[in-house]
Amino acid sequence: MDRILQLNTIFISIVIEAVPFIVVGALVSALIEVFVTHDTIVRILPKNRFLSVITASLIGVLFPGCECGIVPITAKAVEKGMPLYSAIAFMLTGPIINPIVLFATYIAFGNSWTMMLSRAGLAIGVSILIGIILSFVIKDNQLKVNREYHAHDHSHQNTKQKFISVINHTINEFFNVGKFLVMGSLIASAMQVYVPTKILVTLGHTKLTAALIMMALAFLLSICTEADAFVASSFRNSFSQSSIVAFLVFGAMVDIKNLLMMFGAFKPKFVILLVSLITSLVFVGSLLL
Amino acid sequence: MYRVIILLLFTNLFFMLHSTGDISKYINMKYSFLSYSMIYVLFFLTIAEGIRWYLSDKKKGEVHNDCNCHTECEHEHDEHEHNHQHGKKKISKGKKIRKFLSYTFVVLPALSGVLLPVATLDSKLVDAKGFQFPSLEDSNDQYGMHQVLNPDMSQFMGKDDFLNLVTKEAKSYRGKSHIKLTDEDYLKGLEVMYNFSGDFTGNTITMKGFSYNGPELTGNQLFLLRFGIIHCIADSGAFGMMIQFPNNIHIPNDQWYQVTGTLDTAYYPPFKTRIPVLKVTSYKTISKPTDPYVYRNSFN
Repeated sequence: MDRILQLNTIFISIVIEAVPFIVVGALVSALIEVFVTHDTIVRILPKNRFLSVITASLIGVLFPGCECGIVPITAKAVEKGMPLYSAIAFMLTGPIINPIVLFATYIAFGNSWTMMLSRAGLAIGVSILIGIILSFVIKDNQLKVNREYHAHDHSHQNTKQKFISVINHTINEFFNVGKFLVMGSLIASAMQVYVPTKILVTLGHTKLTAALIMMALAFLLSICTEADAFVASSFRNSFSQSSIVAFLVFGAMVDIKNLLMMFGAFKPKFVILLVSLITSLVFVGSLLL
Repeated sequence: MYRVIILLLFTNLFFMLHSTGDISKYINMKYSFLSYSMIYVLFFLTIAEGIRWYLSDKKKGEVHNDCNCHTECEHEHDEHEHNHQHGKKKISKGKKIRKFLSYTFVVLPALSGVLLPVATLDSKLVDAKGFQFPSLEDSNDQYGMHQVLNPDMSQFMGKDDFLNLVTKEAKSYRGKSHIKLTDEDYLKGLEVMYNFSGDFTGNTITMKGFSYNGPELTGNQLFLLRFGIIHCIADSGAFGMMIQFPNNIHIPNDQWYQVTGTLDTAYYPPFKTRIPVLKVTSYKTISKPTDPYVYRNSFN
């Protein structure tokens, strides 16, 4: 019973921490729905797929958020006609290269530029590569069928109607994403209570296993990207720098709660492909560091 | 209608946590403005959803022409269809169950957060969560202490800045023959003790914490720990000091003690280094503090 209550407490704390970001994510996605048209996206993003992916990878600098709120924004952007490969590139770097997370990383590792730059660098590298691979591999729509009801045109609405639409869409997204957040937080808190990190940590002896274990840990703990650097820094004495970078990059791209959200927004096959690409590229990338 | 209720329950969750003060048992209060603002935001959304529900209820039977539903999940779309067809089409059973399940999931934290009591992290979680024993490869670095017992803030700032800070912090403790670690300076005080354990050897220290029988302790040794929180308790870790009694003791885990003792150092095999140890001169059991956690307040 004690364990259940502790599980519930950790569960609630993850939910409380994430809800503000989910609401902001839902709001941004609603704003995109109402105010951004297909034309805007086409105008802003370069036609060339390489430039488009690179631009999208860097847009995240402007979005203060974490990995909880990014999936609905990405799905909405795709719905509005942003090329999938660019949207994914944005989704992967957004939670890492925004100012708040970069600052937290900088602080957490003792005002060290090294960790911050390796984290941002690896994230951007991985996301550009994945974006380019996807642009060649994926041709058709990967949004879940039930999501894809095409764009109502909001441009004829007056300000008041637009305002109402924004609020309605925000609530819809909140419920859309909410159930995945709740499921994810529940699993992550069960992991924290029942799986001793000690077991994982003792396995991290070689460079290869260390990177894999840190990635597994990042996935299981599902800590918000704004706090994960502080947790990662506590592993500094037992893990190599490269494996900690793997933790910081992988955890921000894939963790239990946002994996479920991705399954909610995209076709399962695509999510599996994407996660395999992220896993292998982050793994190889961290070994090269 | 379900959505109105769920949103209202979420508003209630945030409201209750703030009004009872229990919020501090979940997150670092430094970030409380985020969850505090959620009370208003969620309440606003509740009202908005309520109005929408009221209006759509009135509209039933009319042609449903607003465009709220197209991004929603299937069941919502069904409802949409359903409305288009003047309520004649029935929602299939499978969809109904799916809808019920997804709402059940969403409502879960809003209910369990209010109905179930807040648990305090204790020794049962120390093993699972944060009390790992990293081996000190770089133990010749006198400042390279492990981060488990010692809230080593050098992670949070440059090494030089850190040394300056700890030296400055240490000054406030130096010259005091009796140092009492309070809730506010628990982490700061420990940091000084771990970094200058030599300088404080022989000093009297009083601290609180819960007992934890860590691995490879002798019969008269024990750890006294408290959980420290960065953002929320999902990222917390256990911090504290080894304490040593004159005679063998049998203290179960999770007993709260206030211990006064003399600071010394002892070799602790799992860390492969000497760590500070408090040689107990007097101790008393205390009840669990109202706020059992300590927080990282600032980085400077």
